[in-house]
Amino acid sequence: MTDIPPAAFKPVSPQDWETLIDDFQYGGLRRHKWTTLSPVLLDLALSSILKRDFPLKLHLLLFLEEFSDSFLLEPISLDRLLDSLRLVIQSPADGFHITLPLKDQFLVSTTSIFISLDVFNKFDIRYAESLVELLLIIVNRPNHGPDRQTRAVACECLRELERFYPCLLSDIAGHLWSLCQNERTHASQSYILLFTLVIHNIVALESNVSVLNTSVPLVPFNVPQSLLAGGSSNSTNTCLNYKELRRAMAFLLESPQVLTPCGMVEFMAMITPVAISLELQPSMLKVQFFGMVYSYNPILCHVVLMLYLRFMDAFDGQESEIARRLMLMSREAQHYLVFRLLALHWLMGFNELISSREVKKKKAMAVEMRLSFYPRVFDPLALKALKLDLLAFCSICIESLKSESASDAGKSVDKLFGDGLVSVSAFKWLPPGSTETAVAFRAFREFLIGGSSHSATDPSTIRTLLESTIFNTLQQYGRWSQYAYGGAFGGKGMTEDLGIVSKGYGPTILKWQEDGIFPLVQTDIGQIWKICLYVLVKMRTYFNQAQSALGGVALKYEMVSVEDVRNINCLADLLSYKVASLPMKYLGLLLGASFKAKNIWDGVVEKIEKSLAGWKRLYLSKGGRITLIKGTPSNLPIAKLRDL
Amino acid sequence: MGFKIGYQEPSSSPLLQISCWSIGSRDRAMSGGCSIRAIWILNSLDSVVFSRFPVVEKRWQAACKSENENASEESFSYAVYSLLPADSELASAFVERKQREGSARGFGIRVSQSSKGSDSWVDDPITRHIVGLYINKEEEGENNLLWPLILHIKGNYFIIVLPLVEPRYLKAYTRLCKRSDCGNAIGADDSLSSLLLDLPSITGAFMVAHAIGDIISADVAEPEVVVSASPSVGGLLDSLTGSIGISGISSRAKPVAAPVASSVPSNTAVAGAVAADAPKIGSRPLDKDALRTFISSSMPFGTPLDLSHSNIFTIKVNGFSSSDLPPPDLKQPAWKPYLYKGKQRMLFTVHETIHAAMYDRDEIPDNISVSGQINCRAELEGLPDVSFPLTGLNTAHVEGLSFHPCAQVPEHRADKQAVMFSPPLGNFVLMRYQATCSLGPPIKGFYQLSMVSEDKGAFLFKLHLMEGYKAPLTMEFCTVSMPFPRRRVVSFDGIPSIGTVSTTEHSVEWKIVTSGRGLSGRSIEATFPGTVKFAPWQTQRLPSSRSGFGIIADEDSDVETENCNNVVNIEEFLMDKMSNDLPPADLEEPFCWQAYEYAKVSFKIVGASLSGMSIDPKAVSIYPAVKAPIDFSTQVTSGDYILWNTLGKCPSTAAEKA
Repeated sequence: MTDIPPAAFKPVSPQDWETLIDDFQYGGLRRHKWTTLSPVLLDLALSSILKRDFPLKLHLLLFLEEFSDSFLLEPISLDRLLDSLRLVIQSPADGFHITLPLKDQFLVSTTSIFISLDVFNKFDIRYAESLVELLLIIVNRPNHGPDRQTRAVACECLRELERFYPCLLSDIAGHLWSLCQNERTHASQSYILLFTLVIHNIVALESNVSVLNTSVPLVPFNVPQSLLAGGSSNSTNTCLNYKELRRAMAFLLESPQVLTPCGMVEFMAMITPVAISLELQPSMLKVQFFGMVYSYNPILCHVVLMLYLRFMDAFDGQESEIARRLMLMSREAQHYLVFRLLALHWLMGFNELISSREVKKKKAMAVEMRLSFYPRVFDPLALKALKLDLLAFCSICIESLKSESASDAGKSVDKLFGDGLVSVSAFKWLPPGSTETAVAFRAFREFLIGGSSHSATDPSTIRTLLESTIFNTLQQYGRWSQYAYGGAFGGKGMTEDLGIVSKGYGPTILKWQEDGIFPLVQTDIGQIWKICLYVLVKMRTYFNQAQSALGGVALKYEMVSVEDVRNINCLADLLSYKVASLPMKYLGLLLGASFKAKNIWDGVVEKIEKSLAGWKRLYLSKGGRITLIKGTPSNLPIAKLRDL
Repeated sequence: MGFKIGYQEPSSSPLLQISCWSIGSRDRAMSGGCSIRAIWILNSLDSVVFSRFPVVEKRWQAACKSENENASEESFSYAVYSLLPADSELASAFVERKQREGSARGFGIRVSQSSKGSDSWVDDPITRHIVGLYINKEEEGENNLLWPLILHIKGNYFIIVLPLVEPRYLKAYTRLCKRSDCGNAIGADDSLSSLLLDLPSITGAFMVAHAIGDIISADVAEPEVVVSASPSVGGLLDSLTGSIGISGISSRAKPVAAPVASSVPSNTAVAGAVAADAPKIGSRPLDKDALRTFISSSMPFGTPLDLSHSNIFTIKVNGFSSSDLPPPDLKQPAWKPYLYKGKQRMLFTVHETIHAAMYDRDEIPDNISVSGQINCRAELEGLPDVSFPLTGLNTAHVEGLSFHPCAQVPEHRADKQAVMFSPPLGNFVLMRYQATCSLGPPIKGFYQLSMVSEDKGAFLFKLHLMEGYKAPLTMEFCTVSMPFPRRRVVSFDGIPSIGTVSTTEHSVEWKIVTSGRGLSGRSIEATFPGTVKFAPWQTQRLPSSRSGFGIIADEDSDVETENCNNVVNIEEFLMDKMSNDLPPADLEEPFCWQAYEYAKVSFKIVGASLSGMSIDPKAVSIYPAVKAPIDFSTQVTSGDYILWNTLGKCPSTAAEKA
């Protein structure tokens, strides 16, 4: 195939169309080469679709829908489009050339083209009116058997139009309501959703139309004057017809059991703002919909959560029930993993939300539930990680409640931390690259710093951290891990070690990446992070490399601050280090002194001399050594005599 | 022309208030809904099917426009990426992410390779499912993030669904994955959790992605309902589903052009990652027509309405005849487009899966859990309501009940002993529950494996089957397998007290109870001592792409482990050696399976449930009353039923006790 089709090239055969569609979807140059065709593309496609035995009718309609925004539309094409649509809709479905799915797709595609090209505003209004009229004619046959699916689709088309052009259908709301009441086939969902949206838009736009009034005929359809005239209508529509709208709502609230879960999502999204505007009792919604939280369909649970977010007061007292339900959802082994993860995320988001309202309550709730967040053996690691997050959250709550009730909170935090970690305890012996290690260290961090504010400027953070129970626990890990020091840092040299403590974050990040730990720190971190990091580094090093540690050899460590380090005494204390100052001796050299000073090299000279002496001894032959040994005592009296 | 209607750019419209409302606040007001902007289905090379919804796209662009206008005063204002990429752009962005994030799913947790701005920077495992892609990365700087993309992997296919969210959520996520602090913080404002709580469209998009995944894999089987009296209901089921056209899904004519199903990837590093992410379940050609039909009819205008494939394909194939009359007095639910006609009856099957971790250790208690469901098939005319009491709820330690959407659950479930529902057509899962075993474990005992030399292990099984299980309970089969995924079995020696033994290259299988010779009304004790010999251990070097959590082992530590030769205990030495090059487990796995020695038991038990959950057929009431025979059956199968090697390491968790 040539890169650029001749200008006169027109796709006719199904293969041509397939190529064209592929090129459009691929994008870029492949799509660009068809540009010349775009004014006539719609016409060409329509004539292909109307051919009796064209095999790709549905495919082509979908193509028109997807790329409708790229056509250059002339009024004459719109006429052709509407005529073709009418032709297809009115032909009887023979199940072969004209099928019901073809009719449905034609309706959807045409509506979609009208909306994406904004035919309502850019062309004569009669085009829009005739499309709406066509749809209304289809819709206006409630309970008619064979075409029920097409009627449902037409309702969806009308709903989409109403969504983009609010109050387009508000004048005929009365008719839609009665259609809605009459329809008894499965298409009733689409009728209900359409009517709900009309009500929603009436309420949202505060239009004062009557939803009972059927004086405006359904067909012929005219776009309401208020939409055509411009801003003038605003002055009149100040009051809503509350009584009628409440009646309509009462009708709508009876119907949810006919909706699919997806339909329910749409329905609730529309009904909730209406209920707020009409000041309906939230308890009505609650009674009707709260039961959905017990469904195993995640989207229905989410609908209830959305309802909760809107009407928190009405759900007061049921937070723990919702939280419990979410926790149980995360345990359902039948769910896809992602829904179990989502449930825990909702729970976390939910906790945050309650915390912003009522701090103490959430804390008590979380503490109460803490045992149910324990990871289980067969929980996937992703789930374990999130459960550990929740446990960390619980420990923060316990910490903050500690001051209020001087109970044995500390013990409990320890317990949470220890118990939680059991689930990934394999990090102690698995290779450092294992997922368990990554999850475990993520949890360490959450427990350690989750509760503190992430601001480095806040002076209270370090105190909070140092007083926290978790930190004390970790401190013990830290002490414990010092035996690993020789194995861990010995090979790498002390300067690097010092770097961690004092040189700021540059080396810290370096060090951490060397160890393969997540780069926890970036710029702008405060002293606090360095300390945390230090402890974490030590712990990690211990767990990964301490198997061959220098068991029990007590070493003395000194630490030296290179820059100004606040709280260095505190840090030294907790790590059982000594604070030293520069210059100090390291590897036989004075660290921190000027290298130009002559006397700092004395030690080096001395050392070299010693070594030289040793080397001389080594390089004497055995015979030479014997001679030397024999010779030395024989000369001793002479030497003594010399002294005399 | 002298008119303007609502949905128009705010600039020149005379209806300024209305249009602003319609773009900004209206979308906010309706943020609870779920709309899909686009769906892509990729195989390892190319885009296969692509659907986009220009109507939703228009809403998105309008929302972007108003967001960008509103945000202009704020400090962090920048334009969000407002266009939908073409196939080629998306595919290359996907490949780019795969390389950056180690695998198609990504790291999930922040690791040293994570770069700022990528998903793993957010440090949350759910970013393996909700991903972001940078479109045309080299061209633009800031605003080319496409998020939230729902990633679902099915077979060789990557299903990517992009739901419509307000631009401010995209901005919030951009901040999350570029922030400079140390990762996920609990309780922070604008955390990922609160975003997910606010966005039901993400949840909806997952439902869409999974529904599409089922169609791709032709995995549209209904939940199993068994009849206890007759051996199988298959013939009847087939004729029923055939009559309403369900069987037509897989037998539809294949599309003209065969899709590109080649899975030869461009470079090997990626290949390893793909293989790890997506277990191959046979690459069958994609039924593009079926997919297109499903997408266009389940979500016209990008808004999902019904994701039940059986409903959609039945309507598409059969349509409705004038004899399909709507019910005279009730509304027919949208989830039940057809009404059943014919002989009436009801079938219930309790299906339970047993997960167990058996330790045989004093310090770790055994852990057995039951996840169960009640499958149902109601062949009832009209739109009846069915209700029945749940017997066994008192004895069973059922901790969580959840129901099919057709069940009516009252707000306060004081009377959770009864279930009332209006059944849909076909087989469905009426309820699910998690419980503990009310009887003892069906298989008890221990498994011990001890390495006597580097390549030889001695093992011993001592098991009790069905101890304390009474007559209707029948064990149909029971097999124990010892997998050795990292060692090749050379020879094997030993005779079990009952059953037969076979070996494969990487496992030893012991069939204790074979099908056809069920074990009923008695318990048996089975022992099996033996030895197994392996091929010499070879160090497996990891391919570089799988260094996963990326700690490149220190040279020093390598030397140290080599020096451990003087360790007396051969097992410890071997374990050390073997665990040194264990590949990291996926976050979807509960732990690194390969690091442990265990035996896995598989079995099937019929006759009664192990949790005690049961339905009394006499207590089932149907309104309006009809005479319909009610059949109840149970079947219990094993899930992860693991006997950990008593002499080795084992994963465990802390007990949930105060």
